[in-house]
Amino acid sequence: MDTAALRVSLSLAIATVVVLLPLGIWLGHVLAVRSFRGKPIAEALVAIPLILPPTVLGYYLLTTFGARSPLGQAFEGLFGQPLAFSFAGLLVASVIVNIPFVVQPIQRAFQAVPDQLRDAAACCGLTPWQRFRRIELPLAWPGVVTAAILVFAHTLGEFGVVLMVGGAIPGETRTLSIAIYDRVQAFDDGAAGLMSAMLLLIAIVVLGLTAWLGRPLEQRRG
Amino acid sequence: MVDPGLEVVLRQAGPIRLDVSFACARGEVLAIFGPSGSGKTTILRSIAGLYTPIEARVRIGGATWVDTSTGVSVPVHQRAVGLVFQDYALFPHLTAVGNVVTALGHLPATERRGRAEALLDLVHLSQHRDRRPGQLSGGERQRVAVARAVARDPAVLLLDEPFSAVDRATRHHLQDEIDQIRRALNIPMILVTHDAEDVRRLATHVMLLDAGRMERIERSH
Repeated sequence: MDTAALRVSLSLAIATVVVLLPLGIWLGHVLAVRSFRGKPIAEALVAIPLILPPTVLGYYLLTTFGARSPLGQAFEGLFGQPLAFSFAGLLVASVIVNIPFVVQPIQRAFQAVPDQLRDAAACCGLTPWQRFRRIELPLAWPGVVTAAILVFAHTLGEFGVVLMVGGAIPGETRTLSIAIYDRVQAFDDGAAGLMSAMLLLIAIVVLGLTAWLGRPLEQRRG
Repeated sequence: MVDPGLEVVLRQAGPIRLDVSFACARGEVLAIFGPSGSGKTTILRSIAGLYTPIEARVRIGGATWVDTSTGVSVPVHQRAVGLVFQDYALFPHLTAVGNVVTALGHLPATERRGRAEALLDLVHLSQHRDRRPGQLSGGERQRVAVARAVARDPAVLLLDEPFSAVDRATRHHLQDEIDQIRRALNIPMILVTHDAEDVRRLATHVMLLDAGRMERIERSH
């Protein structure tokens, strides 16, 4: 078992959820309740990572993060290390890849809140922020939890983009999925099997949690 | 100076045709009576600020809530309006008392729970105050909706077909309770209905509406 790879995978998954969830809640809410010009284009941009092959997405991210790109140069100037083939680069890539997995469930959850409840909340004297915090977010909460768990699970299993952007630097960018691939290439079936079983177990636990947390709050209280 | 109560002028050719001009004094109940699709609910939504027609003027107690000719438009949450929605629109994740507390933001936090419980007492629902809307009957939900609308300490109370989803016996009880509330609050009330009995039992005046156009206003009784 490559514990360093497990640690990188878990760190990446947790950091991706922490960074992406506030953005996903904001963007999902905007797309659900507001009408604006260019909304179909915004929704298409959000969905792009779903249909692009991971290697294509990884290639574009790698060229964007590279040492010769403006972003890569700016990052290296600020932090003294390259963005490509680093944990920070991996995190940025992971956030971009996972945008549809967080935005779409949250957008659907906010769309499911009847407009009449928003109207009723406004008539109760709640400001737009109070309406969001006290009425819309609690009602959309199962969708938010589902999105967080989907992102966590998807990040743990991501392979193509991680390999393209991060390479396989032990303890820095080598995730569990890449470690499994390496072990298979080295005919080390024992280690590959153990790590695969670990990912399978995590997937089962995550799906169980999604099913439980995705139920409305009152049902969970019994 | 005499309080002019509620003064409303709403006009537009489309998409929803409106051509109404009316007033409703404190203590009066104006029933807007007309067939489905005649624009009754749109009038209530325009007063509450949930919809703005092309030409709109709504004044209450001398204060202007909306005047499209001068560009004045007070946001919905700043209008002291109590609106009882046709299908209740209760917050499903909150208890009955939680729903009422939501409309008590104008009171200090320590006073809200007690005031909400008193309002639920007023509509004879104190025994169910900790139940969620899904655990209440249609009539009980409607009572919570009325208590929540009154909780706002409204300058005008708007009722959108408040008895359409309850049985005849419950309807009579609710009509009596709303009549008591009318006497207690002494504010203008607008009641949208297509039921002649609602008009007979509650309204002081009735407006006949047809395809968004006010036919006439007359005293009810």
